[in-house]
Amino acid sequence: MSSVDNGSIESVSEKASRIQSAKSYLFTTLLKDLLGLGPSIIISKLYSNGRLTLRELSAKTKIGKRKVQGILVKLIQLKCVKYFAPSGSKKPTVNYYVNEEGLLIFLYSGEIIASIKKKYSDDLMAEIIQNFLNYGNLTLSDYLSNLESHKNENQNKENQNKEKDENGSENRDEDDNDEDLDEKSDIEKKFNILIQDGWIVPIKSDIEFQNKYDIYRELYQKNYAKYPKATSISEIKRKKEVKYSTEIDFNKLFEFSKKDIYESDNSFFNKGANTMFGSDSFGSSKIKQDLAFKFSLARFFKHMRSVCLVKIVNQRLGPVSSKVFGLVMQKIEKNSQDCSKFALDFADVYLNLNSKMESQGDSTIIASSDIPAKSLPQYLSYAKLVLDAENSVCFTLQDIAALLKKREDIDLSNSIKFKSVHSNKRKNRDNQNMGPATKKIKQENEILAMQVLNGNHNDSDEEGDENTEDMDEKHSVGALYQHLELMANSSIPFLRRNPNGAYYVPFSELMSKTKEMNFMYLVKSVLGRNEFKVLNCIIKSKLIDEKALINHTLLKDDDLRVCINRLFKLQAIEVQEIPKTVDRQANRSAFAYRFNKKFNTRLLENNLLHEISLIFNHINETKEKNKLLLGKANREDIKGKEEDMLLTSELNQLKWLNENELNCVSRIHRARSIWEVFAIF
Amino acid sequence: MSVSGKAQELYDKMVEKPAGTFFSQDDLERLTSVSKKLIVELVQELLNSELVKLGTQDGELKFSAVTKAEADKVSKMTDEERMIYSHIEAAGRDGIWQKIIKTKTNLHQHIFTKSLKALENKRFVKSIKDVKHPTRKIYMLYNLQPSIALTGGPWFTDSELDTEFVESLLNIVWQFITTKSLPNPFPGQSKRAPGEEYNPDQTTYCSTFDGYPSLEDVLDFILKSGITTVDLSVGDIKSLCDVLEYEDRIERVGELDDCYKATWQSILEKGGGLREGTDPMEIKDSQWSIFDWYTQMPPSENDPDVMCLDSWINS
Repeated sequence: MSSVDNGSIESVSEKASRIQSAKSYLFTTLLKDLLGLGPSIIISKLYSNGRLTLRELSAKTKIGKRKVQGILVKLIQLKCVKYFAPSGSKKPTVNYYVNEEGLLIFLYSGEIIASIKKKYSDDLMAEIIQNFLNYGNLTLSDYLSNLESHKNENQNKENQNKEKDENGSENRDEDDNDEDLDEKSDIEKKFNILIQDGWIVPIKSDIEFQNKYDIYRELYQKNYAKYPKATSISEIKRKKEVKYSTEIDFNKLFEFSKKDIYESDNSFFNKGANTMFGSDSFGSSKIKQDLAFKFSLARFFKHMRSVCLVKIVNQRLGPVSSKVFGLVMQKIEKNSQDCSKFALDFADVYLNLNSKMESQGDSTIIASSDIPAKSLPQYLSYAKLVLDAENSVCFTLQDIAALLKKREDIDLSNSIKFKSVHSNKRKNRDNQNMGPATKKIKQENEILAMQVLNGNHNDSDEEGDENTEDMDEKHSVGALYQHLELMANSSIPFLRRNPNGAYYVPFSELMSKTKEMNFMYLVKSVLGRNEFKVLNCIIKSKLIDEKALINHTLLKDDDLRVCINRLFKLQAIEVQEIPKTVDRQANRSAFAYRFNKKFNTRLLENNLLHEISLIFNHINETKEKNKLLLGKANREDIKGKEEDMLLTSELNQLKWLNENELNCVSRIHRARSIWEVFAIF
Repeated sequence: MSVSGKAQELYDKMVEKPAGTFFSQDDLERLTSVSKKLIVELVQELLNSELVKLGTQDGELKFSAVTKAEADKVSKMTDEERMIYSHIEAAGRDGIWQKIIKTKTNLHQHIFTKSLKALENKRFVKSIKDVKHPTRKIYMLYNLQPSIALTGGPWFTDSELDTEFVESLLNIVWQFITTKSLPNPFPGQSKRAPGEEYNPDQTTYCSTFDGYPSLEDVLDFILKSGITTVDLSVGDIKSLCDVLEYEDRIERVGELDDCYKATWQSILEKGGGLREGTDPMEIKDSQWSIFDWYTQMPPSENDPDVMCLDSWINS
């Protein structure tokens, strides 16, 4: 790539990527560091043009066709670029597109490896995942043969050393063979765990690297052409049916059954155990040696989402409840719905829901008066609730209690109190909606639930407080039930209960609330408490004018104007003119404020990505400035003897460089952790 | 200002009734037992002497007695001053905007200003500030106290929002709600109830707990503790709780219930909710989140490590 390493192209490319979008700027900066300037320029061009052919890419990047081809192969392997060649034509035009999956893997590579290491406390698992990140995709046989060749290389080196000693023993070869077999079976076992936990997923090499939207479009066109035209079906109905059949065909393309992954003659499979998506148990299933796998980014983001939600529970309900929620996520994480970045577009979900309702004979459901579907936003929020309830993985108290028993670090004793510790009088407020009688019934239900779980059905006449004795136990089921109920009754919907009494996590509802809360606390930490208060008041009031804001927030008008100004700068609020006269005189009009949710989130995402790019550039610039010193420190004769060989000033400079880089990396992590909530989850 | 004996008799009987009582023509007839025709003459005589003023009640023309001192005061005024004075007097404790007096009296600007100034100098009327419209000049009788609508209620002192007072009340209300919503919000700082055992990390009330404080409880606590001499109502406590809700320091329990509980986040921000002896600023093992913002050192000026939220807009 020496011919492309030219200063003018570099500066033009950086400037172009910086101007066109924050995303393009970040990923081109990242690729320049990791793969070099050529791939970075290609990604920048693909970002600015959407899709390009090989010839166009070569012309726009001013890099030779052959070189572009080589770079593209590398980028496709690493899932940074996808292509599409329409079938049917003899000489198809191949178009190339950006594939953000690979780019995100680059951005999160460190976090991915650290997460796997932490989850399994196993270096080999992390090593396997690292190899997947390095190569993009691997088969088990590839992995094992690579390992073998790597070992052989090491052994050759060792043999050369041994020859010098002339003392090698024959017995060692046999021991090595046994060790090899053990290691291979160990790797196969780890592969199996990773497959069953969804961290690595099988791929079909013919379609994996192609643009899925184009595949869908081609399938749709084929199905549409096949559909009989002479029928009396309306065009809308025809299109709907074609779409439905296309979706089935499309999903079939990417489907994998257990037989596709495991050798059919292995004993585990013959027992009929559900290995892939059902049971958590795993045995000695033999994975097909020639089947390619890739790292599942969607699975990783599910894990990151769980980490984020557990943290929020910690901040809203407390550390013990957050540990319980951690168990909930442990139970459902693998099979939970994908993050919004990887899920279907919501418009599609909306259509799917409609077709589902129609197929169930509920086509009138939209017009029904008992559903808040008078407007599209209301209907969409209702649809979200329905989808959450239908698609979520449910769990029961027993499921979590079983997981809790295995966790010695979780102590629920004395974490729940039934009576106020400040006064012995229990208040019985006359409430219009839930009178004392209703509350009593509810408590009895809870006590009954605890008795059922504890296998104690007989003592139904006991007082509620006497039944709370097990609350003192470390893994008390009663306390666990109360923690789940606290989450289900919280102002933030961490859990919901379905009519069968099982719990589920309403991800759509919860994540939209999480995004809002993240934004609010970003405002609080960056702008201040007053701005947070004003913004919260605007959100809760939906549309509010300045005078009402002063009354509601009890702020001085000058302070309020400062807050409004700062919120405007962040584009968190927008103004709406309320004309008082027919000719809309500006001096007579009133102005009200409202929360600018959609626009500010997009703006914030761009700002955060841009900031991450700036920090990456800062790291590179600092390294570039201290190139000589770093080169010196990395010399073989100096490594390990820095204190003797380097001057005090050089050592201080090295220390500063290290601290600066650590500081920058932590800033990148923080910016990324805020960005992912808005852009990925 | 001398009136006939019969007119004086009528006036005395009118004054005997509570101040501000309005009399219809029939009421006056009953008071004096004279003919209707004579009543009209007597009332006219009293009106000329400014001892009676006219008013309408339920669409009916009525008369009200004016004290002699007041009548004396009004009789010394010019016609313009009297006109302005009557409008200001009618406005009562709510006051009247200067612009409205001018529109109603339809006086020339010069005469209007002169008359108003004269009334002010004689201390018959005073100008006050309206908290809702600080630029408007509101007039009311000198001896009256402005209404809450004008002063802004308990949060205003001398027509200025008393932020210190509001802030200290907000903290007191939050502390009260916090102690009622969690058994042990500040481990190590608060006294432990005898015989009570707490989990070192988190002790919470169960989901059906109904002892969370209501608005009445908060008001009761403030009144009993004697923290303030200002008269507070449930409505005032509601507006304080609303502010605390906007600050995410408390949240409502149930949709329709006016009971509140403190948020765990607000307790963490105040250094509570942590195991005894834990430093909130210490580096945690868990991943950083924006909700940990209170554990970070605020950036100094010109800090090179500060991230800007508007870097992309300004790039």
